[in-house]
Order: sequence, then C-alpha cells, then structure tokens
Amino acid sequence: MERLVGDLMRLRRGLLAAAVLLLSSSGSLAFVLSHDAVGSDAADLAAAPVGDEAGIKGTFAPYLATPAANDARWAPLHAVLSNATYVLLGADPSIVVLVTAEQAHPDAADAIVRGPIVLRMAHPDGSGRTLLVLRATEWTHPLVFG
Amino acid sequence: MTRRVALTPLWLLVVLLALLGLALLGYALGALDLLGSVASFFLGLLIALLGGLDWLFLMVAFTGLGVVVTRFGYRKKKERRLAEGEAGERGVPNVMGNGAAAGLAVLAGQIAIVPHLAVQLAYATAVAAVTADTMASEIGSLADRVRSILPPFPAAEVGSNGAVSLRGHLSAFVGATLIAGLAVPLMHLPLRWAWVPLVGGFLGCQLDSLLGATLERGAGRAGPLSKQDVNFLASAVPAFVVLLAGTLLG
Repeated sequence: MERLVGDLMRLRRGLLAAAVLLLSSSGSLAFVLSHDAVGSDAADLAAAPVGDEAGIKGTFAPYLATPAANDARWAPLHAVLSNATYVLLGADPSIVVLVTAEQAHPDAADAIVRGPIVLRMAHPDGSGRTLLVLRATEWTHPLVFG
Repeated sequence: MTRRVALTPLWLLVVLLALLGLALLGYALGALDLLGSVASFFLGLLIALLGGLDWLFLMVAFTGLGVVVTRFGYRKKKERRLAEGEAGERGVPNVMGNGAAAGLAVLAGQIAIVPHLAVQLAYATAVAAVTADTMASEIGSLADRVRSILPPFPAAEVGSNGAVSLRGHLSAFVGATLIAGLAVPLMHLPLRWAWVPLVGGFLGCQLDSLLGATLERGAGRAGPLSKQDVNFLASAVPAFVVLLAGTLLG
C-alpha cells in the first residue's frame, strides 16, 4: 500500500513538472507571438473604432502629402498628424494605414507599430478606400516571426 | 480596448499547450480527477476556439479561485464531511455542471442575430454565477451559524442544501465582483456593463440555494435535480436571461 502511494506521489510530481513545462512553453510562445504581432492584420483594422489600441506589422515608407491635400476634405487628417508620418506598404488595397509619431523612425522596414487608432474615415482622395491613422506609442521589430 | 488577434496555427499551439498544461496541473494537484481533466481540456478548447483566448482566461480565473477556496479550511470541511470528493477533486459532472452554461453561451455567439455584447455578458454572467456559488459553498461551509433560504428562515445544518450564511453571501458577492472585474480587461467588456455579470452572478448563486432547498435530492431527501443539475441551472438561467435581454434590446 505504501509503495502504491509512493508511486502515485511520484506520478503526480512528474505530471506537475510536465504541466509547469507545458504552461511555461505556452506562456513563452504567447509572449513572442504577442510581441511579434502574429495574428494582427491590417484588413482587420478597417472596422476598428477610433480609440482602440492596435498593433500593425509591416514595412513603412515616409508619407508625402499630395498638393491636393490642402483641400478642406483633408483637414481632419491634418489635425491628427504629428511630426513624422509613414504609410504601410503592401496593405489591403481597400485600406490606407498611416502611422504618425512625434519622432522619425529611420528603421521602418519590417517593423511593428502599436498605439491607439486616432482617425478612421473615407479617404479624402475620393478613391473609396478607408483611411486609418494610428498614433505610434511603441515602435519595435519582430523577435522571431518577421 | 485592445484588438483581438486571429487564432492562427501558432496561437492554436499556444492554446493547446496551455490547456494540456492546465489539465495536467488540475490532475496533479488533485483538483480534478482524470476524466474531469479530459473534460476541462475539451471545454477549454471549445471556449478558446469560439470565444477566443481572452475568454478562456476568465474560465481559468474561476478554476484557479475554485482550487484555492476548495483548499481553504479543508481540514475543518473534512471534519464536517463537507469536503468535495476524497481530496477536493472534481470530476466530469462537476466540470460540466460548472462549465456547460459558459460553453453554451459561447455557442450562442455563433447565432448571427445574437449581438456580440449579449454573448460577452451571458458568458461572463455564467462564469460569475459558478464562481459566486463555489466561493459561497466553500467559504460558507466554514460558518458556524446558517439559516435556510426559505421563509421563515429557520436555523439549518451547515452544508445542507439551501443553507445560507452571511459569510457565504459575502463570498458570493466577492466572487461575482472578481469575475465581473476581470471580464473588463480580459474580455474587453465595456466597464459600464460590468454590473450585469456581477448582479447576474450573485443572483445565480441565490437561485442555486433556492433550487438546493426545494428540488435537489440528497441527504435522505428525494428530488428531481442532482447537485450538478442545480449548478448548471443556477449559471444557465441568469446567462440565458442576459442573452435574451441583450438580443431583444439589441
């Protein structure tokens, strides 16, 4: 009987160790996936309300305003832009994602940007696309999943 | 509010590892028996796949609280013969009695006409109700003076069906509050709606006591409902009311 109880205790200790190992693996993988914004998609942001925190991954290029941007239709966009603004390259054709920040970020290739969505409107160029502006509060690069 | 992430294959791997780890942990700590662990794995998978990882965390919070309060004052409960199972473990009936209503709420989210907020509230209410009941039962059974929930509220035996105490009521309130509070960051439930799972969870616990006093069989008394049936109804009824009201009110 004592031997049986001892075996059972050893089995439970082994299971406990396995459980801790599985939970640590899960937690570590979740941390990396979360950091690398795996599962975040620009298309998913199209319906996101203003004020929502969002993370977007991709390559960004400096955003250059067109001459037509002086039109009053562009005023809501100008009101939310900070010192440096970038456009996400290769996003869903139905959406234009701009990222605006206080400081310029020279390393804008394969970056992860997080922050609140500050504007969502029909693109003022009349193309029918959705224009989404995210104010960058965190600018990082993927650890593993680029 | 933060955006939800899509359940990609890598995130699914995170879920499977976590669920397997939790099921093993529950078994190794004696909180669940073998079949109870298997049942909790599949229930967790259903919630994670249909509700999302965030929703699963709320159920994990309930499970964790359940384990802690079951161990709380265990020796005294054992002396009073009120401890759950041989070592406080929980089997398939307990897992389903406590988790089926939440699982059904998640399934209701697949019905197109049901608003997302209604599903969120129904799920949180179901989890709040079972948490309130577990905390009330486990901590209330340590009380020395209890009364029947039925008028004229005579003194009752500690741990008997339908017996309530001030300590149990306070524990139920704390349990429902904890889950309602956790639902805000974990499930991105709007703060202004957090009162719904709080009130629904607390009332669900009262319904559990009421059903326990009237329809539950046990201790030499015949009745149509088992303890697990009562647990299920006490969480499913408030969750269904919330789901229905949320759907009708849009």
